[in-house]
Order: sequence, then C-alpha cells, then structure tokens
Amino acid sequence: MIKNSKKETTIFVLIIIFGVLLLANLSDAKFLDLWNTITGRAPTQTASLSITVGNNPPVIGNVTLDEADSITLTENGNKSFLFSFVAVDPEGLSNIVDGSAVANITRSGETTRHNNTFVYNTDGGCRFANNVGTNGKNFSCTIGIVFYDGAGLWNISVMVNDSNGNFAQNTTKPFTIQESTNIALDQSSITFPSVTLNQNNVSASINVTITNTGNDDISGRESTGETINITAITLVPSTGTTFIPASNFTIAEANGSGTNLINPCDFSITNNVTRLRNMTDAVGFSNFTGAINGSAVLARAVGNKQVYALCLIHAPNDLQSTTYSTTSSGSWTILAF
Amino acid sequence: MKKNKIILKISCIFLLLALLSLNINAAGVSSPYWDENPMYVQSGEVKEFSYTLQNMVGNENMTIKAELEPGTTIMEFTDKNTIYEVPLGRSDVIVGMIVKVPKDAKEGDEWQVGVRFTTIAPKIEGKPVAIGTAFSKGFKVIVGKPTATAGITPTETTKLLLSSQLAGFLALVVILIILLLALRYFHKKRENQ
Repeated sequence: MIKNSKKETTIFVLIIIFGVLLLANLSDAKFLDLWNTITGRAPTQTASLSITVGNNPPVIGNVTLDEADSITLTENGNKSFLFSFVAVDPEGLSNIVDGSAVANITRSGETTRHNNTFVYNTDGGCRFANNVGTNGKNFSCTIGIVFYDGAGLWNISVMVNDSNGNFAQNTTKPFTIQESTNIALDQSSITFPSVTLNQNNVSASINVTITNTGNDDISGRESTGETINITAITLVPSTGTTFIPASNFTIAEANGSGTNLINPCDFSITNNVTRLRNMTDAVGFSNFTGAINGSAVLARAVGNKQVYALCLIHAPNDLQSTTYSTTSSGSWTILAF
Repeated sequence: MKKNKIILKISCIFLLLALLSLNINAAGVSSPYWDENPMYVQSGEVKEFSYTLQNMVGNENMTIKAELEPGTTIMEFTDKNTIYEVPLGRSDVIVGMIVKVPKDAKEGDEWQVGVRFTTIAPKIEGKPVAIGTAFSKGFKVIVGKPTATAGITPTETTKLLLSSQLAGFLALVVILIILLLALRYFHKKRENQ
C-alpha cells in the first residue's frame, strides 16, 4: 500500500512538472504564432516592421509606382525609377521626420539600387511631397536603374523615422523590369579592298563591333536560342549576271585569344568562325541564315561587346568587272534573340 | 595587269563610307513577356499588351518592320501598318499586340508566339555590304495560373507541421496523458486492495 502511494506521489509530481512545461510551451509566442503562420493568404502582402521607442511608431501604407508596372529600361542608359509612399504617425504628421525617408530596390543576383542617405550620404533620400490629412506625409522616391539591370521581379523597400526615434519599414512592394533586347553595331556597312579573279582569303577593310545595350543576356547558348544570328545575302551587280554567293564569306570573332585565336578566313576553326553557307544548299547562288559560332554578348556595363571580322574566302573566276553589293539583293542582318 | 584585275568597286565612295562608319546602327525592343516569363491566360481570354521600341543610341532615325514569327497563331498586331518609325532619342514607340485564346483551350495548353523586328537599312548606292539589325521577342502563352516565381514566398508553410516546437508540444501532451492514466491505474489498484 505504501509502495502504491509512493508511485502515485511520483506520478503526481511528474504530472505537475510536465504540466508546467506544457503551459510554458503554450505561452511561447512562437508556438501561438504558429496559427497565424499557416494562412493561405496571397503570396504578396504588405508587411510592416516597426520598432517602438516611447510612443507610437509611424506606419507605412502602400507603395505606389509613378508609372505602370512593368518597367521598361532605357537602351544603353540610366533611368529614374519613381515611386511614392505615405507614412502615417498617430502623434501627428509633424512627428514624421522629412529627411529620414529612404528606399532601395533588390532582386536576387542583381546589384541593389538605392536612395539611402543613412548608408550613402550623397544619395539624398526620398523627398517629402505633401501632407496627407493630419497624420500622414507623402514621400516621393527616385532610384536610378541602369540598362543592364536584370529582367524579372524586383522588390521595393522603404523606411522612415519619427522624431522619437521610432522606425517604420515596408519591404514588400514588388514590381517587374521588362526584358529589353538591344544591340548596337558600330558600322552600317562593310568594305572590302579590290580583288582579282580566283583570289582567296580577302579580309574586310573594317570590322564590326556588336554591343549589348539592353538587359537580355545573349549568352551564346544554342539550347536556349540565345545566340547572335546573321542573315547573309548574295552580292550582285547593278547590271550583269555574275554574283558572289554568301557561302563565299566567313564571319569570325576578331578578338579571340588562346584556343580561340582567330584567322577569320579559316572556317575549319568552327569554335569562332562561321562559313555563311547552308550545307543543304547546292553550291551557287545561296543566302545564309544561322547562328554565329562563339557569339555571346552579355548584359553588363563592361565586357558587353564583341568584334567580328568578315572574310571573302574566294572570288569566283567568272566575275565581270563591276561593283558587287547588297544594294539590289538586300542588306545583311545581325539578329538577336 | 590591270586588264586581268577585276575591280570590285565594293568601296566606291570612301568619304561616304568614312562617314557611315561613324554611324551606330542600334535599336531594341522591350517586352513584358519573355522566355522565362510566359503569359498565363484562361480559355477564351483576350489579352492585350505591347512591345516598346527604342532608338537611343547612334545618330539616325530608324524604320522598323514588325512581323509575326512563323508558327504564331493566337497573337495579332493591333495596328494595320506594322512598319514603325522610331526617331532618334525615342524609347517609347508602342507596338500593340492582342492574344486571343481559343474558347476550347484546356488547362496546360500552350503556344509559342513571337514577333521579329527588323530595322530597314536606308539604301545608299555604293554600299557594298549593308548591315542592319533585327530582334526576335518570343514567349509562351500558357493556359493556367502562374507558378510561384523568384521573389515570391510560397503561400503555405506546411513544413511548420513538423517543427520541433509542435513535436515537443505533442510529446508533452502524450506524456501527460500517460501519467494521468498511470495515476488512475495505481489509484484504482490501491482502492481495490
């Protein structure tokens, strides 16, 4: 009997201990927040963070873009990205510090763009625009974005202080930057020196530089179609029947190095030299459309260009003495996907 | 010697070519949809969007011809004339498009659509090999709802169901129940004796 009583006492003590532990677990904020975590709410919603020091902090509501989403970048240049937000302080609008509003935009893998005087004192910060009622202030923000900022979903974060040192932040305003495919050629035509019949391997007098002036990475991967293609048209005279087919030309990366050291006329170097010939066509009058081997111009500030050289690998032996050009047959085209 | 020499007057006006060589032949197109960012639609939906043509680099106005890429079936231009003048310095020339999804389309159906924009090079006599630029902007149209993309958090956090906090709570409850049952057992046993 005494034995049983001891057991009961032991169990009773254990119940008390585990009961206290259970109550402690229940009162843990993290546990109670569990029920607020599984929400099924929309994937994007406003989330405000505030730190209270002595009084009520300001609250930042919606962030509003000054232009329709999605955003187009400016070819080869910068663009001012404008947006605004309203901060409301229960202590009145005078409690919100005008010079404290700052912002930045972020995207994974991209450089953060900012207007944050707390981190970069030359930025200037967001600008007070106007009062909103008796408790709110509207702030206008400008952030510089550049032509190679990546396409896709970006996120805006804005922050503001009140005069009591309270801090409010809104970190969840998404927007989209469009994909811009832009290329620039430094030439609009190519010249060749005079040639003789049956002459081989005549390099063009000038090269062509292709510059990526957009935010579309032209990576050179054929699997994704991100190559630079060329359409080459047979050169014909203004009068006469002889011609120089596109298949008699090659195009090659002119600034290759190492294993890609280029002789632009040597089409056996298939890494970086492309003969402008459709292999399925019969030899003769033939145009060409296809990828330039080794072509890749990534979207970035430096290293976003490639230089290409053209070569006439053979001048046919039946050519009449005249000028051969694309004037009557159609211009060549550099195509970016 | 000169008789045998075929003079290809490929470079006939050097001064002109020297001037032309200073030219930069540049243009571009922006699109709200691209390979990695398809358009999601519902069956029977008609959706409009626009490409934006730009000519911010170089020193001449551009004329750009827009054509549907082969195989594009459910997308059309909103303009009848699809040759666009893009003056130098403009970055906002709109090319309106309309996508008409068949009413009998099913969830998961998709189409590849696209437009090719080709700059029309001005014809200048004596230009040997004139070179222009072109851009192809294509994307998929998919019947359905977009999947979660980068930068957007998943809607539900099911992994919390397996969290250590929840497991600990459940373990405490189980232990308490066992202890209560044991207490009751020993109490009844003592009463029976």
